[in-house]
Amino acid sequence: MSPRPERPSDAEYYERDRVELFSQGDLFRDVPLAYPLPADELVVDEQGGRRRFLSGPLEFGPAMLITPSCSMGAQGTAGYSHPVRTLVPVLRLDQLVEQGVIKETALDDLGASTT
Amino acid sequence: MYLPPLEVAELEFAMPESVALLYMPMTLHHAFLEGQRVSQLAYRGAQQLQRKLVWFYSGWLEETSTRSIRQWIEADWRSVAVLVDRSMNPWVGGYRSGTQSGFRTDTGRAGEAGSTAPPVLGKLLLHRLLARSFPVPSDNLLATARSRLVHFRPIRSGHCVLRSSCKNT
Repeated sequence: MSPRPERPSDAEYYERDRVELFSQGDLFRDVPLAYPLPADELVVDEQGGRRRFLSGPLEFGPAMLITPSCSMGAQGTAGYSHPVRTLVPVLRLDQLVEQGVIKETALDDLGASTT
Repeated sequence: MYLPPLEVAELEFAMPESVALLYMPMTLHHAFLEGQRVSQLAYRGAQQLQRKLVWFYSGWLEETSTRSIRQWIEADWRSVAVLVDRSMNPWVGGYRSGTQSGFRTDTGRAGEAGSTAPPVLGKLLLHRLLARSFPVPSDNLLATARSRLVHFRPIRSGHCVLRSSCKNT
């Protein structure tokens, strides 16, 4: 049975300018998190009539790209194959503790092992 | 996924200890990200991310197995099938540029051609899944989680992290 994988040490997580193109795991700041709260604007598609497009208000914050690199890269040529990117929000740990989402006593567990 | 502090000389790029909420994916156009990159994951960090993605999506599928869904909702199998097929199954589907990009919300009726809106029962099920499985930091994020999961597309992530061609990440 293979040993349980360990979480990498903190020093092994980040790297600057590893590759020029975006890749899975890249961290971005000031990303429109597009939280779909009540819309500021509602646009009705004139052609179909049934589809509606909502917008704003938005929150901005850090986010991590999780679109796989192999999905983004163009095949047989340079650049990207499509402009669609999937990201997940990155929230500060102290903020989560402050809001009671994570108990302070559980912080050690969160950063340990394979978490 | 736990992210250790990012300590760099430029304070605007530094980041304290953080958590990436893998269960709240959102979709944006590439143009929103140009010039906004702070850092990249190194090889071991990216490996950890892929490990967590596999853990998350495989756990998600197990959690929402057909047997469990049958226990919760027995009345509307068509709805459940649409829900599982469109929102949770990483082995089907793909990018549909018209409905996935930007800040669009499709309010078409479930089951109709071109619609990505899951049925009401599907939404209720998603709410229950969220409440059961994941901590939610605030009402704001809860609203996001609910809405985003309606258009949840774990497809590419869940699929590609298992492919050998992803080793370059």
